[in-house]
Amino acid sequence: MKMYRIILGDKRSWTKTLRIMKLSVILLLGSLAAMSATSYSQNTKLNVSTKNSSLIDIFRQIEDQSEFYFYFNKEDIKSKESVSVELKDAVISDILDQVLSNTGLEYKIIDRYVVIKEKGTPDPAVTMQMSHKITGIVTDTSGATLPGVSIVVKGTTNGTITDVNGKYTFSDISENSILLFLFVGMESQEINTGTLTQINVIMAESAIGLEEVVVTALGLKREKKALGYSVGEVKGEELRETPQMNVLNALQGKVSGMRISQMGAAGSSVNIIIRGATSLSNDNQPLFVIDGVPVSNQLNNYFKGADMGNAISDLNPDDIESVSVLKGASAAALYGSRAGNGVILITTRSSLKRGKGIGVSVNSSSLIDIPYDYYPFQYKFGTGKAGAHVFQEGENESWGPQLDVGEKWVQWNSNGVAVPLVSYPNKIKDFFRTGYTLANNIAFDGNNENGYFRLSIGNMKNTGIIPNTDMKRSTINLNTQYKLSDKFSVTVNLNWNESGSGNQVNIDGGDRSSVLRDLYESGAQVNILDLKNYWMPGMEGIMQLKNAPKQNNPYFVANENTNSFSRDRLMSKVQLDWEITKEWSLMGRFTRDAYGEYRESKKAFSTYGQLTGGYTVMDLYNKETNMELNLNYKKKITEDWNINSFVAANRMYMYNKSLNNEAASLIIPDLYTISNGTPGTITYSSTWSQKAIYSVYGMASIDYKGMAYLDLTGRNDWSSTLPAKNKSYFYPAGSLSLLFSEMFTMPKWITYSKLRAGAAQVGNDTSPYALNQYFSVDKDWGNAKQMYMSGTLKNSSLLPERATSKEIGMDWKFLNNRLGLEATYYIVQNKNQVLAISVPVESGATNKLINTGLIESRGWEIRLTTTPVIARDFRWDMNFNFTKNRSYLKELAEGLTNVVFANMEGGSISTYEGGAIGDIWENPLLRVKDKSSPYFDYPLISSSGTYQTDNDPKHIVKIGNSNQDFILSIQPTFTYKAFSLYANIDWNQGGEFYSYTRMFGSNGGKNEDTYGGVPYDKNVDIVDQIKANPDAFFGNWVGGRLAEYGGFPWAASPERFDDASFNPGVYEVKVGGVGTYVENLGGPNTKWLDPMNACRYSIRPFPSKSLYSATYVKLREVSLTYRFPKKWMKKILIQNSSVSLIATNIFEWTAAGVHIDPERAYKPNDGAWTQGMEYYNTMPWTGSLGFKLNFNF
Amino acid sequence: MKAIKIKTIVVLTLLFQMTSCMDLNELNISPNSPVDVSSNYILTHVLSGTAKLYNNLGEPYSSVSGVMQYYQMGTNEAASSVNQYLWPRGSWAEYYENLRNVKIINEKSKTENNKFFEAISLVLRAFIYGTITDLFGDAPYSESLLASEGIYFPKYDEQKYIYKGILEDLKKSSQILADPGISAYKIDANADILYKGNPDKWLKFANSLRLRYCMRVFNKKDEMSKLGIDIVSEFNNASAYAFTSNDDEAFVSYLGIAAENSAPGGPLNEANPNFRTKPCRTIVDTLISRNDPRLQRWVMPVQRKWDYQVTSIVDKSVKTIFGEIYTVKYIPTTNQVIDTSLWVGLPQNMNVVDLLNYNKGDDIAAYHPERSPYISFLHPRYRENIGTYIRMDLMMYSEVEFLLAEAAQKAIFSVTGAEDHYKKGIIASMKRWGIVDGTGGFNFNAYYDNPKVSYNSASNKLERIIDQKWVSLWLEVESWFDWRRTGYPVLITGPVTQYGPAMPLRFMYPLPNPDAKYLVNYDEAVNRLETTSYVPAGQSKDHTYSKMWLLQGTNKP
Repeated sequence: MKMYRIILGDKRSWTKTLRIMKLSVILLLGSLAAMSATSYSQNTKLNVSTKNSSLIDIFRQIEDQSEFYFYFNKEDIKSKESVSVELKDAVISDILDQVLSNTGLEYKIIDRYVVIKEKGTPDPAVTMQMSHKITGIVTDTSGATLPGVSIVVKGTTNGTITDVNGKYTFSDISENSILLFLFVGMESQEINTGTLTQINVIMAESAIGLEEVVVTALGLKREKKALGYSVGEVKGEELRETPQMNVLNALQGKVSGMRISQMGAAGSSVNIIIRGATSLSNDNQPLFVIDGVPVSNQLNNYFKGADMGNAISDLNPDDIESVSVLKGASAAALYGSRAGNGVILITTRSSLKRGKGIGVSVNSSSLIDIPYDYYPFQYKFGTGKAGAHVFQEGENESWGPQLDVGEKWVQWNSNGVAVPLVSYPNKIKDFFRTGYTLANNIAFDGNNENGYFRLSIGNMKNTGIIPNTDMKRSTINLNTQYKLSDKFSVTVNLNWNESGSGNQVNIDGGDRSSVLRDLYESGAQVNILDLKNYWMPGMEGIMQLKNAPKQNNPYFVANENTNSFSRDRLMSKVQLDWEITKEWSLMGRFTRDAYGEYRESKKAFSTYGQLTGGYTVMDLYNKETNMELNLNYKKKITEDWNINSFVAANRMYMYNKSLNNEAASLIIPDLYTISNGTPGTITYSSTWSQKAIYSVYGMASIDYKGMAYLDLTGRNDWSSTLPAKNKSYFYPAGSLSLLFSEMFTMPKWITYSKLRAGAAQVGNDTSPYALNQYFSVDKDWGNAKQMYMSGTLKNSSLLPERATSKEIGMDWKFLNNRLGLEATYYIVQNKNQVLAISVPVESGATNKLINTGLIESRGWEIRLTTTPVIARDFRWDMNFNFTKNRSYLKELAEGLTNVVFANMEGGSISTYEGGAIGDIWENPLLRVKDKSSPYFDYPLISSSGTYQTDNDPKHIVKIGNSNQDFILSIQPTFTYKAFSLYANIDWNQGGEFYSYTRMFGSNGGKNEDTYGGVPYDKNVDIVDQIKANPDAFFGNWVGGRLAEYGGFPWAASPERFDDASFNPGVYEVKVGGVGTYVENLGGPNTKWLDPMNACRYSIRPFPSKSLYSATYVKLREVSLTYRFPKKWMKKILIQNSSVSLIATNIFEWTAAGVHIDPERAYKPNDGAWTQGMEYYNTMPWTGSLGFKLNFNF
Repeated sequence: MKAIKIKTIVVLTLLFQMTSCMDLNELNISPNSPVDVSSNYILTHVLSGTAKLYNNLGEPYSSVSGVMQYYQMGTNEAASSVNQYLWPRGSWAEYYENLRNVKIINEKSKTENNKFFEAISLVLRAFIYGTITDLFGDAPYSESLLASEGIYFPKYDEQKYIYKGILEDLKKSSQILADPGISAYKIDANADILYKGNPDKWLKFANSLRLRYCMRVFNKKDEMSKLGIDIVSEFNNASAYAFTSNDDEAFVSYLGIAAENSAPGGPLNEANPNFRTKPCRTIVDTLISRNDPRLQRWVMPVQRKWDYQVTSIVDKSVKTIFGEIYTVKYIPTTNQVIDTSLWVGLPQNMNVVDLLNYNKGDDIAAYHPERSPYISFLHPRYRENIGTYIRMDLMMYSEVEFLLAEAAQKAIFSVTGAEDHYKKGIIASMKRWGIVDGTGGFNFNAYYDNPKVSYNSASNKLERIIDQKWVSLWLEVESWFDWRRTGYPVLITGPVTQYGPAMPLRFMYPLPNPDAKYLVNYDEAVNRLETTSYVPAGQSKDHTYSKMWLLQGTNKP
């Protein structure tokens, strides 16, 4: 006989809904209960009165009057005929006997529970899976209750957490389930429930503190507590719990000390700067190591003005298991030369390891990109230069006539008839479109005792917000491991991806084949939609339709002047691990990252600047291979001492090839082949280069009682790029981790405390062929070859660079991990950096490769993790990442004291020895310098009435710095039952950027603030006003496009509109060599200007007038995820599944308020970015909305 | 056992791979670029580059041609610099780029013992440094091009030493080239895009440049003689074997194939056909008043001509002396202040708004701002990639004759026959533009008899010579240097100029390197400049209106 136990729980927990569940779901029987059952069933008097009621109705009546509960299989009773019963004060058996007669059903009463079943069917209990309720309390060893402990039914997603009193309840749990009790800082426990109904657990603090394991250099998995340096990490769970559309989003804001930005559209290069830009010459990009494969990630941001994306943009986020950011040299020392800018280690997912069988995981996401904030151009005045009375459609400037007031002019599409000038304020909006991104991924995985595999196939397709721009990516990722024997295993990773675009946006603001520039320079009176059919009728393929001669039609550029690429990339690894003895193991691996990239740029006939078109093809091939052999020794020397060490050797070989063919002009329109190039305009170039580095390196990690760890590493490289005598360079590193919480007895509220310190050096080589002078080949002069020596002065005695980094940090966990703090202070000193420094051309060189003196970066990285609220079903986590960095040029080089990074009109971004990297300088306004003059400090106006610049280079003034003061990222996560809400907020404080969009907008009369100059009171004499408040006027223009905007009447030409304007100040008149100052303040001798020149000369020559604060707050991402309850999903064999709603970049606040995203204030600069310069390529702010589905079978 | 075998094989293979080292030094030899190349290839680069640079000083958008009133901008574009003398900082980057390569030719000529290349490198060095100092004044010279020896911030040499060096280089090169043994040294005719490897032509060029530079420093001859340079004897020496015909001229032809070898105004270089550069009224009226046929080589008739005779708008066919036919609308007018000529130039230094409406009379129609039909366009050849008379002149034969005329007029040189040289200069210039006496209705004597042309009818002979030279130097920077030296032609500024009613005197130095050590040298040079009353008070002396040594104390212009 089976024994059933009745669990006498809280009655309320037996909800009515349970009744209608399948019979197999629950059954409560038991001898104990049966005793009392008899009395209740016999003592309870019931009244039943029904007419043609279903059986269910009758059962309900009984339940309503009593404590009886009915259990039945719906199917069993659905088909039964209705019955009519009329009974008073009857006991339940009487009623059921009557009701069930002729139904073929029988009943069984146990206590208050009534089971209805078909006659003669076996006792239902036999087939039932037993399920019950479990409650309990979780405490720590001291007996204090523990709130917030996660309890998971192993192998399922069922779980709960303890409430504030440490109590938990599982209402419905199968016999012999395994409960997993998890709490940070505590030893996790697994308990078989058996048939227990109450399980109280005492959790012991984990003996060695945190069991957090992170991936460190060379893919070594290390306990985080053992590390003497800061490692930023984004774990698999974080990546998967809030599904990401791209890898960039997965990292942004989540690691302190790291700055990430993306310039262009989907697929464009991602710019990552770790601990500040310490290199003055290269792109400062960290080394990417994907599954042990070093991957070149150089910026790829300038092909005919378009950005072709870098390695990280090729990755499929669905394949990523975890990301570790090795920030300092300590962490990166083992990667050698290229790790100076930090290392980003990406581990792709291997098998889910969930048992036998093949697992399938499906991810699908859709996202729409919605432009929502457009740069605010003015729509009140049309094209022209000459002021408010003349329409000059051929010009690029918008200083022309007033719109929407009935002024009639012949326009480009008005067939020679003068028609009213009308504004099109939706011009910009009309041009852009909604973009969308579709991404799908399917992964299969499986494992057994001999190995595992995971195969993932992904596909992403994006269409951009600019017409005819797109991006696509296909990926196949295979991770496998097989144990050849107990001690010998082979691991193979293959990551293949193919990405490409039919057209990437040209973001070079200096190029008239930039869609943005053409769009932005079209007049306010242009209906952009009239240009949509962009060929002149009857001249398709030959002549574009356009409204202005010195422009391109933006639709024409977008559709015909395309910049496309396709890239095939394979990252592969074969690794062999041999566990020779318990202490000794040997690892050998071969990694290879190779990609071919084909680029194509088309310029159609009639392109402004290239009237007969053009065609460029570029074929690139890059390859890097590494061969590594690593001998590992680990031993527990005594009870207290452990050692883990290795020695290794590596051979790195890099190969780059480039073929570039260009036809600067074409013969046959719309035929894009090099052979269609006009004779003499075809240029070919082919280059290849190679480099190799041999390395020997090793590490020893010593651990004392799990409370003190010492890591020592050393590496020697031999690089082919350095002169023979400097080829070999050694660099050491050491780090120490002390766990105070292990060493001393800490107050109870301190859960974990660690002090870490590290010092390390990284040596770096340079690019190939930097030692010797070579001649360059110029374009042919007819049949004569032209060769020349370029201005780069090579250096045959280059030294390897040395970056020395020191860091000290503390990690704290409080209140059982409810609060965590990681803080790091670092100093990076970069010496002997190889830099092509600009030298005056008259020296015979334009730049010279030198070893620079010393660049020092200092900064703070603070990470705060908090869990402010844990309730039964609700949890609120809040993480903060704080980054602060400043880099200084401490010493430059013998004889040199200044580095110029970029020049702009009237200023530069340059740094003097001792100054900060990113300083922005201006040549100021020329003012009266004679202190005895009543006009001292008045602007000195030229004879033509315009402001002028003080040309003395000694008078330059610093107007800003392009670097932020700090970055603070906040990530709140709210979890309520199956829902979780995640947000990522970035606050970038400080820094300045120079905006070409603003500058050209002012220059061209396109900004909204170009209607008039400084506001003034028309009723008060302007001269008096200026003298009373000179600071408000000097440096600005006074006047306006019309009288209502502040324009003055033209005394000399009364026929003109009232748009006379001026630059206030004084000018000099010399009589007999003696100069006197004449007021130019709007009085009688004023030199009047048209508004365009008055505005232009007050803004364009002075960068400070177009310099803006880079402070912004951005809501990068919000996602709401719902994890489907497992019990629903089980029906359709799905194990885990979730749906997420994602919104990215839906809110941004900028201190400057000029509708330009400071994050995009970078000027593409072949292979690098000039930071602090927005280069006339402002895109509309674009928010994305979408959803992601995730299913695991 | 099998497993162990596999392990052994794998590990050994790996080890073998690791040890199969490549020679790291070998790897770092570039497979793409040569370490050494023939000077012939460098020569072509330097010649084409120098010719282009020098030519660009006169066009397009040349602020110098604006100053010399050859042309003006017809719209706002570039008007501030061309019309109103708001000159940005100059640039000498490409000059020194070329000098770097000239230096390589020079060094190689010695190691390879090729005297011809040595002579050419000296001529080019003189020519390029000459242009630099003519434009800027003091400039890095003796310490320049020594970056490889660690001198990044060369001092700015005083201008007189640069001119001394130039004249010495030219003298030395003429000595080398005059040596009969020169024919033993070869230069690839194909590479020498100036003279096809003909040493005799190079000799004439070197001597002609000596004439140019002797005259350049004429006002400073006493100071030069203190440096050991006797201008008079130098001149006399060079005049014996300078250009003697148009065949000797130093110029590089455009190829018209690609942008970099085509004329600056053609479609390969100008997506927006250049109608905005307008001939200036000064040169147009000068040519009209002398009935100078060169006008019709350079300038088109207006499309709409105001006319006192016609009573209604009529289309008339206008045929130039070269047989070109234009259709011109004659528009009746009685306006007495309007320009009714067939060739209308744009007055100098106009306000932008005014110039857009220039000579529009009472016509209220709106015209393309760059294409006013009431102002002449430049001849269509200035909008072509290549043209018969469009080329990059380094020095023309006419200049030599005018230099000789001036020398004769000055009467301290051994040269005599000023009028003869003057005439030869005019004839050479006409020939340069395809105008030959007796053809196309051109009669030289008729032209010459014009009292505005003939030498004898001039009261100021020097002015007469330089006036004609100015015409012959149409769109050439040399005319500006002559004007600075002589004050001729007398040019008057218009209403809107940036710094007052005067013409600029020099290029501002390129944006100085911000390095303090550089600025020491820069400041020294700037301090040696002499400010004029047109330099704003408190402004740096590195200004377009400051006087370089060459002009200091000369009372010129």
